[in-house]
Amino acid sequence: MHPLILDNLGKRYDVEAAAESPPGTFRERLARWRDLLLFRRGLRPAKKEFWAVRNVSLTVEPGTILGIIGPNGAGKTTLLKILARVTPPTEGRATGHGRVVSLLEMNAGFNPESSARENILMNAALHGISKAEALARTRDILEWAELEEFADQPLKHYSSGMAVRLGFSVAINMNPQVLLADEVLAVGDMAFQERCMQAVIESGKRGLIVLFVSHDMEAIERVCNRVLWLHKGQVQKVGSPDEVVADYEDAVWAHFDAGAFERGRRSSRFAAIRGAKLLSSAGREIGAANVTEDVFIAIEIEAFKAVAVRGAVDLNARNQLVFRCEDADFRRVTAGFYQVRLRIPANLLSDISYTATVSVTTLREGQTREYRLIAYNALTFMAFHPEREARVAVKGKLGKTGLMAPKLEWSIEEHHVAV
Amino acid sequence: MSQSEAAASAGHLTGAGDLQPWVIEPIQTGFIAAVREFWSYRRLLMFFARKIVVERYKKTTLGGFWLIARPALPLVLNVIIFGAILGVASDGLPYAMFFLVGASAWMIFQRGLLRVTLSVDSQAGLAKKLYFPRLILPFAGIAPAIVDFLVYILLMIVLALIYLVKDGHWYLLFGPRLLLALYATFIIMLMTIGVGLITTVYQVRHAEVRFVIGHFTGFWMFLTPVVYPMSQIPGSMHWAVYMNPLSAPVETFRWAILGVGTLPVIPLVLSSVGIVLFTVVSAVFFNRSQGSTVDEL
Repeated sequence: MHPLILDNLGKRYDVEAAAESPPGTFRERLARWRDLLLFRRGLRPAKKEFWAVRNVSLTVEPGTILGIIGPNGAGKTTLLKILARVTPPTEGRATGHGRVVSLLEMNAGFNPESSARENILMNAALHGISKAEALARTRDILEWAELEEFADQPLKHYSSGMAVRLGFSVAINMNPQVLLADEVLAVGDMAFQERCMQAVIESGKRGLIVLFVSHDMEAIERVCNRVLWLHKGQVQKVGSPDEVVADYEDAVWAHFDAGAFERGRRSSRFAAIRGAKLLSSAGREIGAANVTEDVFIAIEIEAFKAVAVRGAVDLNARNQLVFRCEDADFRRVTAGFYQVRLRIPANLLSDISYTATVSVTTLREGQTREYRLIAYNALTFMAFHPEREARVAVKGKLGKTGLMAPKLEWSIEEHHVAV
Repeated sequence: MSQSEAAASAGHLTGAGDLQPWVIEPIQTGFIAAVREFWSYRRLLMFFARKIVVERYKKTTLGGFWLIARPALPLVLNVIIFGAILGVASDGLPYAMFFLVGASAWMIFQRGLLRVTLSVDSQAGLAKKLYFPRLILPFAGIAPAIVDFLVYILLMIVLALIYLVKDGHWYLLFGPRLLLALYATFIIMLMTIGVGLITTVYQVRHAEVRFVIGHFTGFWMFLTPVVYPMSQIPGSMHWAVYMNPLSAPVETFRWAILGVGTLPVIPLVLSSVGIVLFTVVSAVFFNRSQGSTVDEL
């Protein structure tokens, strides 16, 4: 059982400064060519330094499932690339023990024309694993993936779900000490994800370290037991998932709505937010939203006095604000318990997971001072399409699903062009 | 990383022991360690060779047809231009036979160089995700040229059969000298990889390298005795032609298969030594720039 130690890791890229400035006018370009011909300037455009990762020091204990979060360009992927030895660091070092295996997107390490057996061998070879060892593990891999019957069929006849199972099974059964997973861990149906998690946790007991990069905070909190928050290539915070994710989302929130009101207040003298729920169109509490039906986000409040309230919901997914919707009017209530409901119409949400931050603004009659109560990430739920199969990274592009999937209207009209 | 550490970290990927320590540091793998690593990953050669060949023909509608047509069509054109129109000498052989044999050897270089140049670029998807010795890619990249070469051999036999029926004469030779043809083929492949190891590094940074190569090799062909026999060059100028390291192997290949011309012993030895040294230098260059090459992908 050995830890993975990152010691002051840094990676610098030299970005072409010219690439950022526009090409300029014809005259400027001409001048550039003249300077080039007169050796006034080199063929290489001026370079600008850019540190994708810097001063990252961290000790990851065996058995850790480390979530890596941060906005785009924070250096998450670069860090994985360094550990996968795809790109050398510019400074610092990383030390560890045992095998490092990257969980690959399906189209990358597999050949659709070959059988599962051959693909297992090839994938092992890509990870530098000997043929003998790969052969010895083939049975386990097929068994775990539940693909024994299809072992000799070419991969192109596999469903996407089967391919994902095979990919994960290969990675986990190669006996890695460090598993690098870039978003891919969160694909497939829930049952499959559950099995992956079980396998990861089991391997964790024998010292496996998993580095899991994701924008899906819900997945991070569900899966990881430690979270690293990177910001502009540097460590912003390391700690327990709920703590780091909450801080991270606060920071993102603050970015959207800097200092507009007291942050994180759930109650005032007049009212309090007690919780948030997802309700079906019939008003029943549900855990996941069927995107083909209307659902409600219900903010449960308790009013201590007669007060006017105005609800608002910020719906986030993949670390981005999908929409903010605030009630146009204040609605009067007397003391008691209420649900402030927002109806989300059918055919709007995409089949991904969402997190809602809910808020209620209160206004006392005869006063002008508004108080805002807010509950961050009060509600996380999955949205699903009952007929569509779980999405998988078929073409390696997870991002193909949008944050919303509204059913919009199409038509075709003859266009009369005056001749 | 230092060489011993590099060996250790290569070992963590290949060795039997599961818990070998490894270190990732800014210093790049030394050349000796890189060669050793290349060897331990040699199974990937076939993997990438196959992948590159398949990818090349995958999206074509007439895959099998192009496999034959792509090498064969320029052949017909060249035979018409140089043989029929310009009437270039061919050491007493039918021009088509003479040209086909020379071109088979030459095309390993011309077509191979382009494929080797594109090899790293074309496998960017995997190279960005996964570590494996990048050196594998240029070596696997020559695979399509080998496939083409086999097609040429086939065409060679077909053409020889045609002449057998037409003229009653079988032009191709058999015997131990074919080993020299094989050797010449090998040397040409090595030269292709040697040049390709350099061009592929630049291809990643400047996508236009492939265009330059297309024109450059087209020109280079005329410096090599492909469309003309050495007998057309004045003896006092032979040294100049043999300055081109590909001349001797091509001439040797034709001598071994058709029995025309002479076996250029000394130029062949010198070219071989030169090409081997050059390829080693290229491989060192490739190895040194591989970290930044992957960053550019």
